[in-house]
Amino acid sequence: MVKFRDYLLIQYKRIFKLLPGIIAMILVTAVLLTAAGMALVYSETYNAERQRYKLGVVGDTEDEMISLGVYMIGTLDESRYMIELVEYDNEEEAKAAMRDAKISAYIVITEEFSDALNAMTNDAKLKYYATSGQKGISNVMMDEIAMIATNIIVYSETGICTLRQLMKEEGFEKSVRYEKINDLFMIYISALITRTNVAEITELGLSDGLSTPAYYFSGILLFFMLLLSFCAISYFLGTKDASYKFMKSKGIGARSQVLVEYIPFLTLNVICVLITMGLISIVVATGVIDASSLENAGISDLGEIALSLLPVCILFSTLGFMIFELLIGVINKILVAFMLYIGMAYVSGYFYPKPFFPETVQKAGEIIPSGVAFSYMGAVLQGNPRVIYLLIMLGYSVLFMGAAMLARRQKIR
Amino acid sequence: MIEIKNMRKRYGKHEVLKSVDFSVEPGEIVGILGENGSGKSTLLTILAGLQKPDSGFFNIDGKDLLKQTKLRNELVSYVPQETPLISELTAWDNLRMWYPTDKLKKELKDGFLAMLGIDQFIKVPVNQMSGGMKKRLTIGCAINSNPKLMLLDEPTAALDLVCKERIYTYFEQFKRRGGSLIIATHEVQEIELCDKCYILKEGKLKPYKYDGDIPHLIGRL
Repeated sequence: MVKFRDYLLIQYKRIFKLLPGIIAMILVTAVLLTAAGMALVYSETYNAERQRYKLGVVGDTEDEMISLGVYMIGTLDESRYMIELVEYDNEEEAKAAMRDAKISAYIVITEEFSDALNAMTNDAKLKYYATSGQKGISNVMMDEIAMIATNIIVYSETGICTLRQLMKEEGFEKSVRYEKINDLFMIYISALITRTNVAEITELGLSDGLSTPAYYFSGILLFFMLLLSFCAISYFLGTKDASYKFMKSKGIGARSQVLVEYIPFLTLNVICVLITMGLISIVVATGVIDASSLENAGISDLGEIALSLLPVCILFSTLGFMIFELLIGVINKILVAFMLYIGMAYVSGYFYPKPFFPETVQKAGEIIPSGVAFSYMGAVLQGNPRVIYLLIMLGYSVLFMGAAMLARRQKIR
Repeated sequence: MIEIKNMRKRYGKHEVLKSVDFSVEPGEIVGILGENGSGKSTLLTILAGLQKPDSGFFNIDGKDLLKQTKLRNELVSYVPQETPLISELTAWDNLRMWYPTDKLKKELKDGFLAMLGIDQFIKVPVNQMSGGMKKRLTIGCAINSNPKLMLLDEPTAALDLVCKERIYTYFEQFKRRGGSLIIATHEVQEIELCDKCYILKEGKLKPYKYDGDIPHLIGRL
């Protein structure tokens, strides 16, 4: 009578025979994902997102009100965290700079605007130009820039303008007017400085409270783990229904078969994850990746993170096993699994922060296995691993194993 | 004595087996003939324990094998039509799963495995074997528990004559040692090998005596 152990040993032998091919596929996947990650981290877009948005200013900035507004926005106002103002002599220069992506938008301060400002009317408006077709974060920022641009002078200096106008109408000497307005400027600036001092800017991060590096680290690592089951697809191609029937006739039922085949598959995935984390540690130790930036992102102890990844590894391995058990045919297995993984990863916010999706999609993305794994990893990276995520992942794993066993039972019949 | 009584199996509205009864004596080869889809494989898979019948009895020497699954796994071996072997591994690895090392070495030296000629390709991976090698190896794996009954689903389909002959020789040896065989087949050579035959038609098993008249056989199917 064949024993569970004998069958398990044979499956281990089988997977290790396939190991060179599997490792080759894993390396290709790892290299591709690393390249994608590096390209992302070092891309101009990413760097641009980390910088302040540059806003061009064209036109008459000689006016004392306008020059003060520009100065305050550039140095004192909260906007200085988001916007850097760049002055241009004419609109052509600003247009060229925008075409070259040196600035995100520009405003034109016309003479009419200065006159309207001094006359305390709202007849003339600032002209604001931005490139079209910008998506995501850029779109949000453009709206913000537009709001700031229209507020550059109009609201903040209304009081000062009013004083200047009234003094002029009351017949005060020019020198007296300048002196009093200057005093008011100083009081205004002092108030502005005091106001900005009470504010403390805290970066909330891209998604789930994760910093940008932690977010990308988590997303890429989890996507890599999802793809791991692909790399071992050859493990699922060598077996046939006749084998399952033969095993059953020898006393090894569907449950035992699935369990015995799953254990080596899981072992392989765990080894791959540990090797991957080991390689990352080596890369960090050699200084290719800045260790301090990882630490700031909550990725300080890679060994601990590797251990934390084990439940995720179990979840994704059972998911992969179930998919390959349910589907028939090589092309089907590869295509459906790949599409499913891409879709799951996308919806769960592996590639793009979740807040950019509609609310229902966000909810779905959080509930599905990839979303639970992402939330779990997010909590781990923030040093607050939550048991609820572990329980949900365990529940999913049991469900997937059950489905795989049912599928196997059907094949045996 | 092997007895199959009142075996019934239904898939939805389609009743594949309608009260199938027959018996097999020790050292007897029984052929089950019938058109494709007539229920031959279903009957074998029920006897092999792959699926349960709706009703019926399957006894060997008075022991109810439908209830005693462990005993059935020892006394009954099943050889499916397609190869059930693990293709990446060698003949040795495939056999090693079913035999303890000592017993395997002995069988390869002078036992049934030697008779099947498996010792000649023991180190060859399954994916490099011919159809005949695979079939012999499958039979080798199936007989690890010295079964009393072997169930074979079209065992020599698409094999060359030399390979068929080798397998038939093995069947004769198995039979001589008191083993029984139930073979689902379309092959005339296998039918000639059988001590008795049955035709499975419309869910019912009817005895058939083959006398070399193939048109008559086709007419009965």
